[in-house]
Amino acid sequence: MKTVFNSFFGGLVALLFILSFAACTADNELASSGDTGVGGSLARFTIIGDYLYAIDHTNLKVFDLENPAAPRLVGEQEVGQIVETIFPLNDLLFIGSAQSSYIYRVTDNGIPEYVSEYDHSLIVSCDPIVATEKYAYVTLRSGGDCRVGFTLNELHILDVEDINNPRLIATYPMQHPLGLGIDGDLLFLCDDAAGLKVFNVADPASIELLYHFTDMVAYDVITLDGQLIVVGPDDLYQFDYRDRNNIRILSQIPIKA
Amino acid sequence: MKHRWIPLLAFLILLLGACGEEAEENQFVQGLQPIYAEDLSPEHLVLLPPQPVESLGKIYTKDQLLFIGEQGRGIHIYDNTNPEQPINLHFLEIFGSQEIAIRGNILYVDNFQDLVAIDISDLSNPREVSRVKGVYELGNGLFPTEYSGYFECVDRRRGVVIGWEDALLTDPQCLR
Repeated sequence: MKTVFNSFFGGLVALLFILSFAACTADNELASSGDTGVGGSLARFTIIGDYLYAIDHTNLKVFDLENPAAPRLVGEQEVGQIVETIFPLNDLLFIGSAQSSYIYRVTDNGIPEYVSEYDHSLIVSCDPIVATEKYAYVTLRSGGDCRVGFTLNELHILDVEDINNPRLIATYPMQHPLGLGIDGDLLFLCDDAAGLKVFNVADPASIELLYHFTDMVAYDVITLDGQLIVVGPDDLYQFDYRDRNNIRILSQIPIKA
Repeated sequence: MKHRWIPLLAFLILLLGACGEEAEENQFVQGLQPIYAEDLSPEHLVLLPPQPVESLGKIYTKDQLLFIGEQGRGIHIYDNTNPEQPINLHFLEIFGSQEIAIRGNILYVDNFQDLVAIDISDLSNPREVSRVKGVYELGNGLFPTEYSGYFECVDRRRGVVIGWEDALLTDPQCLR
């Protein structure tokens, strides 16, 4: 009787153990399924909630990721010509194209609706855009995909507090600005062969250059709450920016042969 | 070094023979020519040892992993647990890819005209779990991006363009 009880009890313990393990696994899967990564500012893919937004040269496509392993195309709309980049902020999409910076709002069914745009069609150029709830930062550059006769290399800061009416506040000349990243009032700007620039943008009408790392070629950045990832064609750089008075390089790894 | 000119000379002679006087109008200029992949299965998904970056693409990070795109060829995967010492782990070869996004354990990547979902829960054994076919136009491969100058026009009958290389071009008809 005792043996029977013991084996029953042992079995119960084993069952509970297996069940708790299974529950734990399920929890992990649940936790990770909503877990989205972060891309650079030159990205043409971004994820908000259960949807993947993908732009090609003219169109914005929406993929439903409710079953992450089986994305479904659920929407497609034309945005503009030479669409370059897409940046997510809450339920907003900031889309950079050669002529305009567009703002879309994602609706409940995942389909984005046009809100407004900042038209810079007089200056046709490549223009990645990043934003906070108050301001958007756009780099305009000459050459490459968006090459036209007129060349211009600038940072434009827009007031987007009223997203229906984005308004240009200030422009700043750059060498050949590419990707950029914003974290609070720190703006990280990749200025190609001119290196990485770090600005205090607390006053957008008068930004302050805090650091200029000149001995590097910078194409794009990712800001990660104090950790900065920067890439150029030859090297991967990482910085610690937790203390803005002491932004320092953590590593430089050659990535080219 | 001298021998490098022999094929060019032979080519010139052939050209002269073939085209007669027209050949004299040909202009040789430095530019880019497409690299074609003639026989690529779109399902080509191969994990290779770490590779150097040749043509930097997009960057993406999730958890301790850093992904660096190789334009038109795939994704370099780094372990970035220690940002002072990132480790190049693998190169995931996917031709025709430019973009990266990750949710949970699924990596989304464009693959020529398709969107592909890849399960990366086991990094040493990534596997395709689904594919949405034909959602992209093949606009990307028709001209070299971030480049100004002459290039050899893409001939789509020769396959899909997976990259561009420096070349001495004969009377190129494409310029950007």
